[in-house]
Amino acid sequence: MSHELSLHECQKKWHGSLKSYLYGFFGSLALTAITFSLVLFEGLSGNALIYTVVFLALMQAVVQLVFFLHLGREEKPKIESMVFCFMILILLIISLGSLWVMNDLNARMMPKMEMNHD
Amino acid sequence: MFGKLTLEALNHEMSQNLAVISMVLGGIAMIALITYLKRWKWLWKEWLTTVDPKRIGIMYIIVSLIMFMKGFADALMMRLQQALSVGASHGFINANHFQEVVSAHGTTMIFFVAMGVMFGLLNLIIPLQIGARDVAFPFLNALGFWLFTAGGMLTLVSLVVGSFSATGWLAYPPLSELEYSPNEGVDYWIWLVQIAGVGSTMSGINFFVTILKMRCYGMSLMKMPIFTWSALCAMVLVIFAFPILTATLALLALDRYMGMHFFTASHGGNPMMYINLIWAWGHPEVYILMLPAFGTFSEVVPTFSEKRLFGYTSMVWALIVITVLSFVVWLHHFFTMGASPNVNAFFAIMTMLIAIPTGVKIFNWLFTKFRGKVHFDTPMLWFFAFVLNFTIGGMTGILLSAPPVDFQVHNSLFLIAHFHGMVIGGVLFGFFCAFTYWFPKFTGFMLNERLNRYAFWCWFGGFLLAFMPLYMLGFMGATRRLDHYDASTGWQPLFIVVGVGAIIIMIGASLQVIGLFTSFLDRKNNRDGTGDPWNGRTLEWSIPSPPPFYNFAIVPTVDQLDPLWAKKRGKEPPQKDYEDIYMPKNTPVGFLIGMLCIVFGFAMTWHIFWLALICIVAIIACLIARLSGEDEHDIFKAAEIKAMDEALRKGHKRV
Amino acid sequence: MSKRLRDCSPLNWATGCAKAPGLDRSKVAPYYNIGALSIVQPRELSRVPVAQFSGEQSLMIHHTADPNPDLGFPDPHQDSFSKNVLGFWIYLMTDCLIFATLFVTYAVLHGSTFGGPSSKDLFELPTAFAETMILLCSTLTSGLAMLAAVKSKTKQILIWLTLTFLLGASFIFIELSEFSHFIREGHGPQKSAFLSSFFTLVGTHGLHVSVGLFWMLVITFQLLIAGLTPATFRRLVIFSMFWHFLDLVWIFIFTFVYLLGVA
Repeated sequence: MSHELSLHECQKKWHGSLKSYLYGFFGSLALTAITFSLVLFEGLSGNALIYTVVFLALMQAVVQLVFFLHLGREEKPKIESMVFCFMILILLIISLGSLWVMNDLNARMMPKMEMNHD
Repeated sequence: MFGKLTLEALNHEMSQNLAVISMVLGGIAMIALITYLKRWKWLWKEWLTTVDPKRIGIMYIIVSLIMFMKGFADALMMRLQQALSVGASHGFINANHFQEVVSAHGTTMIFFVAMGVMFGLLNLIIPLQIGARDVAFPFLNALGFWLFTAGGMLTLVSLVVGSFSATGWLAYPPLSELEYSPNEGVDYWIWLVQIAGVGSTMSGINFFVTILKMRCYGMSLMKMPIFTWSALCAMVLVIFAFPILTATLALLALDRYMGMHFFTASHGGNPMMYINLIWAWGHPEVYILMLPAFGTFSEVVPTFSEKRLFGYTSMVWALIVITVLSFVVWLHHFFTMGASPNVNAFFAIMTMLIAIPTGVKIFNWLFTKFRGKVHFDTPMLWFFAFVLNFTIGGMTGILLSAPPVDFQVHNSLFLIAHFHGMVIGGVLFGFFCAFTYWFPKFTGFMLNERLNRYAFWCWFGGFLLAFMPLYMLGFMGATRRLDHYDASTGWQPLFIVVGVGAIIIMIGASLQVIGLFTSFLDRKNNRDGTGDPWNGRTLEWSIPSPPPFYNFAIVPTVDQLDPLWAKKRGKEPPQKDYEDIYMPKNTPVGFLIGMLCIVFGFAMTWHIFWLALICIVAIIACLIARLSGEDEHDIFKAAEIKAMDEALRKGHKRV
Repeated sequence: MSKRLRDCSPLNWATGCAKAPGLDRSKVAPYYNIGALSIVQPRELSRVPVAQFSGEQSLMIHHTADPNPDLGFPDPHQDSFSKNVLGFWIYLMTDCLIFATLFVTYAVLHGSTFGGPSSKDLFELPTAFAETMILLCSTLTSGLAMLAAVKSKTKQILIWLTLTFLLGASFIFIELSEFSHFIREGHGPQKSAFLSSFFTLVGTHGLHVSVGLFWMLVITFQLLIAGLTPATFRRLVIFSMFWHFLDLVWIFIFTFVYLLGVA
């Protein structure tokens, strides 16, 4: 296009800061440590373990999205955030939909002699 | 040294040899013509290295036209075979070759004709409609085109060297696995679709960012033309659906090349997973093809009814709803695979729901014409053909969306008739409408109206003859991809009617090509000097035909829908002044990478891995060369542009 | 009834009875009256020097990033920075979906062990933990490289980038050791659907990391030759987005593949 920003203007547009990175790093570190300890030392078991671990993973994902990838900090209109939300929607539709469909199909159509561990 | 490639690969049947010879002769003729006209340097500088979306759009359409000839030849062969091959006679193609023709037909038409004309239209129209000088990522756009062309060329190569896949246009496993398709056909298919798919994804990202970031002053989202909205929604579909295809094809390739077991019939593989994933892509794909066609009609109908589009907001919402819903209906492509009634019912209801926004759009177009002054130029004729054929196809789609009905007619000719109604009646007729509508804009002269009308009637009548009997045949039990059947079925008369229909379509298509040539030869008499032969409403009609390379001398300022009609009524907002223009430089990298991809795909197909590795290294080197260094532009000073613009207004040939 | 209403049916009232101006096409004033123009407009057109304009001031409107842009409307003078960042973000979204497809495939097939070992039998948590820590540290160092870039301290950028590269390379080394260990034990990707999907999912992530390593080499080269310019800064930003994204995906790999596989 007709005009390019200078180096200084580009640098001003970038949204990171040392604080943001440290929050992200220590937040992820803590969440990872908790999750690994839970599994390694069998703090919980069964469904409770699964739900907790998944929840902690989602929390860490949010931490990394906000503090490392600066999601939500872009200028208005926040196209990146909107596209991200839409991607999550499609991702959930495709993955949960596929899991539902495949589980159903496997139950009805796959050979019964195979013992599937699930 | 040459992997699996031997001289045996050049050994074909008679019918294939004829195709090969005609293709090779055609190629030689083209090279000879360019050499005779001494246009190699011109071709390189103006077309092969261009990043101008107007040129890239024209190239997309030219490549699609070439691929259409191949796909249509496949169709004619299929219909001829099916008309002849009854009882004792086995036609002129053997069973395996017939399956290759079927697969090639579908693959070519979807990936290289429909996607090609769609992206071609977007390249041509979108920057002009949003008042932009260029797309957001000109190089990425060019690269997307060359990857598309690479896929197309690989399809043509597969005619000459070796054979194409015989597993249908989607290569279902386990048939497409090594155990049941050990030869190179499916590998060809995997690589050419994969390469073209990556190109599509790149173009999708490009147009999405272009529409969001490069609209002219004052053009908010709700002041965009509906064609631009439909393109935005189609690009959303491309961005979020094509990755699924990329991943799924990669998994199939891993099965075939590395002996893995994703979709094999043994070792725990699950072929149903492939079908699930491929249709999770496949359904959005058909909407990707369809939405720009809808957008075209939203441009053509108001212009030729001399009336503003009825219900702009509901049109936008209908597009958005279709976009979202198209991601939740994919199972209707495999109702019969054995899911439980609950699963089938959910997807059936979702499928029926998607008819509602589509109906909203059709009624809005019809309401636009009500009390309007309707001009029956060729674009409007194509709209009428679309309404009839697409609605019939759509209604049979609703029939099919009921699982009990689908269980009877799945994979029968009823299904074939349905989706051809959508793709030909919707996508192709939409493209013809767009082509006849926007042709004067990009060439500066009008098409031969008479020949195009004859062509239209041939297409319309031919389509009805070629596809309505298929509904009957489907109910009579005829399955798809059938190369021979018994005389007692009583199908032959209908197949003959269908064959006649296909020939009438061929006449129509030929008339279009002839019309193109005669219009070109007669262009001095057909010239449109106004840039606006149809009394247009949108920005592309406010610049000369053909558009100068910078599109707009002054980036427009708009404040309402149909900005050109506002301007003609004297209600235009104040415009900005001339300014310096920065245009991206041409680059050979897109073309080079495209050619390297052809060699790469060929090498991978034949397991010539050392060659494939060299190609990858070369592609990476090209990319690094391109993506290093500062962004370079050609600069045109404001005064130059002003002088050029004023000269164009006065009708001067050169500045 | 007034002429205006008569021309306007109830269906049109909602749209304001908008009709086209100038029903007679021949009377539409042409904006451009073009002589015989060829189909292709050569760029040479503008290269013909127009003598009387040489030396005259450019009529350019000076355009800098507007401090108070009217955010309701788009600005066609979009700079490369925000365009490229958005474009790359969209690419990352497509990459998310590729990984989602691979994850779903893994979820569907992870039980299909064909009599062979399952995730419980194979995976070792200490290895996964080490990989996680290494990748997390490398994300931090890449962020610190970006902070140095904002302050235009090229030497610091190179130092942090080198650290990131070393950490990333050790990640790949550990992962390759894990893979070759499995293969040597006879549990290669050809043995069952579970193993195919495991190797592909984790391997695709590893492939992305390897591409990132190569990318770092190229960026280092560019920084050494051209220094920090708007273009190289932009490429650094995009690389850091890519590297952070890879750590994001890894969260889901170590959760769903390793942790839940062993639990």
